[in-house]
Amino acid sequence: MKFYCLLFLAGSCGLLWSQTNPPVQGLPDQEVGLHSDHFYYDGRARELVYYNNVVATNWEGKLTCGRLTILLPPEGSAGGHPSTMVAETNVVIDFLKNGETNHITSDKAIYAYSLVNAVTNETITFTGHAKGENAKGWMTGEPLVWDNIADRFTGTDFKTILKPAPSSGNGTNAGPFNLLK
Amino acid sequence: MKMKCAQMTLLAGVLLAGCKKSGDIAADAPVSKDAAGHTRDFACVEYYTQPNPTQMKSRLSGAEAQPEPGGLLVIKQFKLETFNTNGSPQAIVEAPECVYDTPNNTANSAGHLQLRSSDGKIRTEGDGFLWRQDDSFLTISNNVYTVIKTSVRKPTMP
Repeated sequence: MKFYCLLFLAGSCGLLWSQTNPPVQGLPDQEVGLHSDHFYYDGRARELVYYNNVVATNWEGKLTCGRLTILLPPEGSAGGHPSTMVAETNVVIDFLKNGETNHITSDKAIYAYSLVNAVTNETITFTGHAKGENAKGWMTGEPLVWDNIADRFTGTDFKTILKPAPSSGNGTNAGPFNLLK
Repeated sequence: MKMKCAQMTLLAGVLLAGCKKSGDIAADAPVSKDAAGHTRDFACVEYYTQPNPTQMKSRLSGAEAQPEPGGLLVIKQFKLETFNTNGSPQAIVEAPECVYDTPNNTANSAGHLQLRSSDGKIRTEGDGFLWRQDDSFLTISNNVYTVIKTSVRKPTMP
């Protein structure tokens, strides 16, 4: 899921306080930009907070929200992978896939990562008027949960609505985000 | 951006009283003072404790430091470099000017602040900052901009 990268990479500004991931061989560097009006780093709570007019952009799209909080892993933990990131207040994610604009909105988006007994769990939970939309249709859930390991959306009160195909006879049952597998 | 209390205390001591080695912290160059009492081109080095006592932990430098009443130090061309225990550079913090409040262990400036990882992959900057050393709290007040360079990962969008 493209916006995963946005949220994660915004979070990977675990910045100067956590290690950067080792570069992937043979792949070029890309830039993620993160703007906000204000910022603070709380070394005791190990959290980074960007707030007011937060905009994160990368090669995949754009995330905007009112506040982005990144909880850094405990000092000395392997990988330096942030365990939790929270985007709050008018969360909007826009990204392109196959030339198509995808638009996700919610009040809050929570990225959670854990590695327990060699099992990785990685989800993004959208709550508060969560809605995904593109040219093919839209979906809602309360919450709407993206499981990045299983590669699919789940949710409570999960609804998917497909827009009518422009031409008849060749329609598919694919979800609007090709998310339903 | 972690500055140890001892480091700043030493810096204050270096600037106010002269440059002397103190424990695991040392000024790495002679300190020169002009007639007005301004210290120029100073640098202070902090070393790791055991088991890496010979490895530099941080190097704080400035083009000029001026003692002010109330234990304040006005530092121009402030630069703090931090290092890993293997000696490799970690991060660099720079500000054209900042005021270090020795009694309260804080540093602040209305001016620009730039932090960057030594590998150039991460850079954060903004205008106006406050660093509270005692609780490791950094605030950047305005116009915060972070750039992260990262390798492209295979998109996982289904």
